[in-house]
Amino acid sequence: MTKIIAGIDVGNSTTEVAIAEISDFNRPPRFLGSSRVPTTGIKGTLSNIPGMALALRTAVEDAHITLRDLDLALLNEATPVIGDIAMETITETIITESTMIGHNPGSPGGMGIGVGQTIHIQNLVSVRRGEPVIVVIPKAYDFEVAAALIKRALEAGVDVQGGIVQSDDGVLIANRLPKTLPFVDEVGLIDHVPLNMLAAVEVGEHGQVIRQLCNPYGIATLFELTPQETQMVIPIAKALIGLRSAVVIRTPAGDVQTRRIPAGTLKLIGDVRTAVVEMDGGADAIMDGLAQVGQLQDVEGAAGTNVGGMVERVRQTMSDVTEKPLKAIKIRDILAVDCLVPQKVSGGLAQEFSMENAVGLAAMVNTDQLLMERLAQALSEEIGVPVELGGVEANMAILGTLTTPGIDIPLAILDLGAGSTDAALMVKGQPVHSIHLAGAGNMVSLLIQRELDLPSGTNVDVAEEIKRYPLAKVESLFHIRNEDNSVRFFKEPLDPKLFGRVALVTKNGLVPIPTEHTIERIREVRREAKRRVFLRNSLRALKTVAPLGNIRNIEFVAIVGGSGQDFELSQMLMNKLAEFGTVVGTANIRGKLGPVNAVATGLVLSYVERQKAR
Amino acid sequence: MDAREQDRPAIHVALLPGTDPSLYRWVQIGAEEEGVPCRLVSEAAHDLVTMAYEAARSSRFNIGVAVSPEAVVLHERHMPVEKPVMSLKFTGQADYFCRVMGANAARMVIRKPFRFAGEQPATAARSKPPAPNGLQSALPQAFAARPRPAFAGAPMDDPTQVAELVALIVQKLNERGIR
Repeated sequence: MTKIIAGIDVGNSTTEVAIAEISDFNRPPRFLGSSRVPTTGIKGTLSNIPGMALALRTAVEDAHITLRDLDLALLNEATPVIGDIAMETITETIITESTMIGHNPGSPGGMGIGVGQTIHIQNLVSVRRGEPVIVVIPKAYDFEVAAALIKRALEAGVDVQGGIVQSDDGVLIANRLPKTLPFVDEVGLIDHVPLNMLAAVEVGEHGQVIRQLCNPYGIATLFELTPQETQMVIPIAKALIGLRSAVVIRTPAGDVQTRRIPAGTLKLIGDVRTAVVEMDGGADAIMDGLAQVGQLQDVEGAAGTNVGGMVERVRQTMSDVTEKPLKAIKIRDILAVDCLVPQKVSGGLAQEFSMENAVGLAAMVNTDQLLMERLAQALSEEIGVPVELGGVEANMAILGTLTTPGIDIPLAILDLGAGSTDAALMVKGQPVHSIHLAGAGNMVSLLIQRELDLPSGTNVDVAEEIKRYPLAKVESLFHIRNEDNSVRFFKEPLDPKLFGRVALVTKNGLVPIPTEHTIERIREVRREAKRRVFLRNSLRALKTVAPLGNIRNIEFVAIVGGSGQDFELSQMLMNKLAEFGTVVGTANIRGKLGPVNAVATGLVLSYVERQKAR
Repeated sequence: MDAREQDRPAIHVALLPGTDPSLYRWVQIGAEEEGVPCRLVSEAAHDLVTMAYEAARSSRFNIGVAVSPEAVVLHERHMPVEKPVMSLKFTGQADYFCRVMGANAARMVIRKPFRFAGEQPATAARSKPPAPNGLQSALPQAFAARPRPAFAGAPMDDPTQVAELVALIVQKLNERGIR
């Protein structure tokens, strides 16, 4: 009697299928085909059905059979966890009166620092001799006209100290003047620049950043501020750090403040004890607190604070998805990550950004088996094939991983997915010990997106792509420099749109990244995000499943899951785990599929074993 | 022009006969913005693309620009002759296109991404900060509508804020001479 069965694994990000033919339960099954398609909807909900159906259809095609040939489909039991992510800034800069233009245009003009009263260029003729002024030049004034007017004023003895330009003409104006003066250009909202106020303009030297205006005492010196006032300008100075050019205007009532939004406290309720952690302490404080409470039972955020809102949002989403009451949703794990995100400065004149502290939080809640049973039934109706629930995910993953050539128990696996990081340990004669932790691939994408301030919500997720592909800089129309500094030449000239840009090296060629960050910065953010999410979670997970809680007691670790395909992650993990004397490698399911399809394959294998035992 | 001047690396710009000579100045201004020198050369060629290529060949930067009354072309020595790096037809103000092309010629030298005609300056086109991801859409109204304690609108229960506001108003009145 020959049976054809399919194992289906619904993950947070992909749905995977393995199809096998079983003729004799004492012989290993013969695998006919497999597939991997994006999951539709949130894992464990009825909206997964279209994705599962598509995955099955793709797999039967791969196996050269039809859906009708299937005798049975197996679904992994009760998706144990669903993860979600959120991020909130914990500081914010607010400017109540326009006081600064911190600005990084491609090419400011001239260099140096100038202090004087702001004055519209049309009023330049009426300025008294020797009076220091900063000229405000709207777009309507052509650079030649503006330069001529300023030149005449200089000749008449007006002490022009610098200028603020609306168009992109800073260099051109500066080049046409008899002396070197700083000009900040591309100031869009020039009408908002207050006139007849004391202002300072600074343009850094070539290849350097400004020095005076990003120093609170520097601003104090220029404006003769009192110590109290100096305290008020700290947010300005902070927002101007690292810029090529800047303007600070002293308006009488202008006051700038950093308002610290109450970040709130996080109450971690564990089975051993309960800890209350200040969000201000950052991610490390939260994770330290988490380590103390034992098995996490639930998390609460202080009401009316940012973190309170964040936790409630997670709960709300989960409640919507699982159709369980809000109160019944318990958060079973969290991962906190520190990051610096660019925030638009409210009240700035040229869309200034300031780097603010933020904490990203991935959370995970338990679901129940009921959901999966409902899903199995719905799928069975959809495809007309009986569907069974078959086995705990972690056990299935281990069974699947064991099809990797050269692997044997005792073995630990790290399942690096999109929504969760899971670990399981299999030792002879003992039940499999497994753990699911919040935070994985999706969290990495979120960190990259926020830290680099990338557009979100478009059809192509740039952050996701950055996570997946190595970078290169297009240095000429015929060659690129990869992120490891090696150079690659092309026979055919590249698209001029790529020239000078940082691009992703994908299978389909080079894809330019729509950002002005340098290749070094993007690489650093990418690697740091992976380190903070995957390395931290992998260590956390392995520590939990390791005998005596010591990773040194694990000899072999195999990496599975979608994120196991990452081009640099397995090397990063290998480097880290080498410290513990642990051997790490990427699994190769069935000797050909790489780290994916472990659970789907395991489902089929466990079915065979169960039938054999019968 | 002495020999040394001729030797200095520069972007070479050539004009097809019958082209308004002032267009050279706009190319030059574009290049000046990026801080790269430019020089007007005369090349013998009948079509615009070949002329740009010849200009590129004579330039020590290997970069040439050619202008006709209808279009401006940017060429690089290593490109196939018939395939210019970029070519812009004058669909509006010719001086604008020449300036963009001058900037692009300079950007080839300093290896910065090109500007494309009609696109806004990079800083103006900068995206607004992205809406926080994911869950935000599902967020309960209570959190979505959390008021910011700004001066406008929000109820003033903080005495220091009220004091600041009063001081500000008095100051404004003083400025206007109203007491």
